[in-house]
Amino acid sequence: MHEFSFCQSIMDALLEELENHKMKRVLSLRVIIGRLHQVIEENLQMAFSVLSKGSPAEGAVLNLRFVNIACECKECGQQETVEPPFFSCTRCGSGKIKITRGKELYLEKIEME
Amino acid sequence: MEIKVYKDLMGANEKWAAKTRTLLKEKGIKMINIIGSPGCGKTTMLENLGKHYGEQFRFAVLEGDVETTRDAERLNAVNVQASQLLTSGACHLEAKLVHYALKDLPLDKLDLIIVENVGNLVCPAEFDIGEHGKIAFLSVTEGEDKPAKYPLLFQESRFAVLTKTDLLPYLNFDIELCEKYINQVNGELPVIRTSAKDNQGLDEFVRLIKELPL
Repeated sequence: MHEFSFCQSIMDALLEELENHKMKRVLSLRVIIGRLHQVIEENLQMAFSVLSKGSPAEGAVLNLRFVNIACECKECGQQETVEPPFFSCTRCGSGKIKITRGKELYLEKIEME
Repeated sequence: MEIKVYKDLMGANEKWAAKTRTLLKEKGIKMINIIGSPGCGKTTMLENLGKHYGEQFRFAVLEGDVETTRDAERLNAVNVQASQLLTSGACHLEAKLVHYALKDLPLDKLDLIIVENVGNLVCPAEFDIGEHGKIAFLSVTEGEDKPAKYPLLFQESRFAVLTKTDLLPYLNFDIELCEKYINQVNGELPVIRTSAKDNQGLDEFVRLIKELPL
């Protein structure tokens, strides 16, 4: 959800870095997205192509890396990936878990010229 | 050239949420963010809170809606201080709008601020508005499996409120199954059953708010 909103943040970051490094064009970028955000890849690509039109990021390749949701059981310490919607430990069955991965949402790297 | 950036894409919203946290801490105010479907009973709960606990709690409400000031008007009519936030199309409240609205409240005279988010089980769960806790509202007219269908809200919340339990005799809603689904999505989430008709659960609601750490 909110792929346009995330893309707007991506665009703001790209323009800022282009300015900071005195570069003219973005060639590619990589964004890391945790699966808890329920972002749809297709929608994000579409939002990016719309928002980057006419900007120095037009035509840039948007690479996405999705991070699976992982958790640690507070009862037995088991660490594992989680398939939503059920968040419980497969070893001891406890529902007392701590999410350790899956909330990431950041622009990792940019290739510019 | 390739550069590593590590730029948080929720950064802008987080900055405003952090400003709100600072302000609330300075004033010693607790803020909760109640989230649930349109019509699940959020505003009604707050009306009842005003009627029965208005003297005890010094609280104000920030009402989030796409259009109309109806919810704020309902609360003002029962002497609850309420400001309306209109999103004009956005499906959730974001931290910047909430921060600006907060600054217009008489903060020195308040202990609690309740944000009633836009009616929506999806998007409000994604956005930190600087609250001390999100509270999930779900009515018994919505289907037992909603916690599984909307897991992020139930994962993020500090407790869940089941509303309209007076209607159970007329529905095929299995409340224990619903509570089981909630437990599977978040094994540490307290759940309370409420009914606005006879104020069932209102005291529990107040107790859980009081227990939320500042």
